Amino acid sequence: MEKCKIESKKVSVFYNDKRALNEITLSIPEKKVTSLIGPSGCGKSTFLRCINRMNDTIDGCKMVGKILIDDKDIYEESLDPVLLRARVGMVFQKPNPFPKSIFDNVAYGPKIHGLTQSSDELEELVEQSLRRAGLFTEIKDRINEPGTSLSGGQQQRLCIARAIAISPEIILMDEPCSALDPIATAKIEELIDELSNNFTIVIVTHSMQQAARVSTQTAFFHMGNLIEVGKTESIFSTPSQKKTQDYITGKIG
Amino acid sequence: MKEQHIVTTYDEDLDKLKSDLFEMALNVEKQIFDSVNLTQILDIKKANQIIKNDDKIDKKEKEIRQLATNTLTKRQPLADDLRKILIALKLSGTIERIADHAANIAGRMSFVKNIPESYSTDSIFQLGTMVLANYAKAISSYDKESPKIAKNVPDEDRAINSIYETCFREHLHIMMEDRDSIGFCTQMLFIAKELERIGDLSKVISKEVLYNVEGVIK
Repeated sequence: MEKCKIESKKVSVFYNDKRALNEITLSIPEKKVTSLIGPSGCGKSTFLRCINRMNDTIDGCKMVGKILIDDKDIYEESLDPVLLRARVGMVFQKPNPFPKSIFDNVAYGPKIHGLTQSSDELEELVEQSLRRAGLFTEIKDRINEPGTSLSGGQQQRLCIARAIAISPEIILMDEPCSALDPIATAKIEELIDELSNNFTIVIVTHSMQQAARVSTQTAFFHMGNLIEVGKTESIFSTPSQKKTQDYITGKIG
Repeated sequence: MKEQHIVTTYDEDLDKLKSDLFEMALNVEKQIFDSVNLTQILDIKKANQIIKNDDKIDKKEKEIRQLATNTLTKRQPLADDLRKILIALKLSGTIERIADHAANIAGRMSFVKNIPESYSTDSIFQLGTMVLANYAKAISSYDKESPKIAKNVPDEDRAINSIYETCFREHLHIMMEDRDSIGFCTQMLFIAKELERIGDLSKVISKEVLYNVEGVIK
């Protein structure tokens, strides 16, 4: 039986008086890819940001309910959000490398979290992370050049390398391929597939085909509600809810 | 109210796929009707026409497959849309094979040249009318997307198989009694087999209709 890595229990999120999420209860299995799909404004990115407490930084944003990672409530007062974010990495829609060298981009996280004891160890970790992100062979001769000098797809893989350098358990991806061409997208999808052997991945995507290709579980959100969750093949072949069917097939009422 | 896609040309593509396939299916129904009638009233001209019509059906099948492929490429369909296209691909091939069986019947009848006066049984014709009715039922279930109609087709096919067995035994008996009838009866047994195959393929159509509506491969 699949182990549940993340569990949300009746999670509601409010931006001031506006309810963005309505009592979301969802289990996310360990070392699998879960896709969150739904129309713009349905709350899928808001839900994603609950998993690493990114919403804490937004004024007027309030969350009720519980999110458990390995059965521990991540909203407990004693829990340090910085340490949580070391366990839960995030990759954004637009690649956002730091204005630093490729090496420093990846080395930044391990340095501030004190994950290595020597520069040799740090170099090894950077190389290993770049390799796991499928980027090392492409950039090994220009590792000291700025991260921003890379192509969009390479920058996104650099961001993934940066995320995995601190050995997170979970990687959150918010439309990671929406700014990339089909080749760069294919490379990221290949990478997601490989990473899912070691990490629990939650991805927000607007591409039904991408969700179908990369994930084992898919959750459909609509107007702040979780309408349906299930095996990806079932959701895209025989959804049980009419709203899901209408959305994935592009139909109106 | 019929559900519509946001992209209206998507609906047009799916509607065209269905109407083209249904039109092809109706043309094949006419082919079966005409070929079954040949077993009662031999008409060489009609038999040749049936054989000639089969080329048009082959051409139509290719057009439908191309349309289905184009729609898959353009729309990247999911759920019920995907099933509609998948079954159009499968049914176009199945119906084309049914048309081949109808043309084979016409070919056999043009080969026998005449029906012996001593040949008095109408079991082939009875088998033919049952097969025709069940085929019509199967394509009606496709047109109406009706699981209820589709579920009747396999039951009818069992009755068809039973009539086929009777027909087979009857012709064996005729051949044993009248050695001169062997040549003719052999052709009629081949025709009975063609009809029995049409019955089986009608069952395939009904299964695809159920898959389209229920989304479960059985």
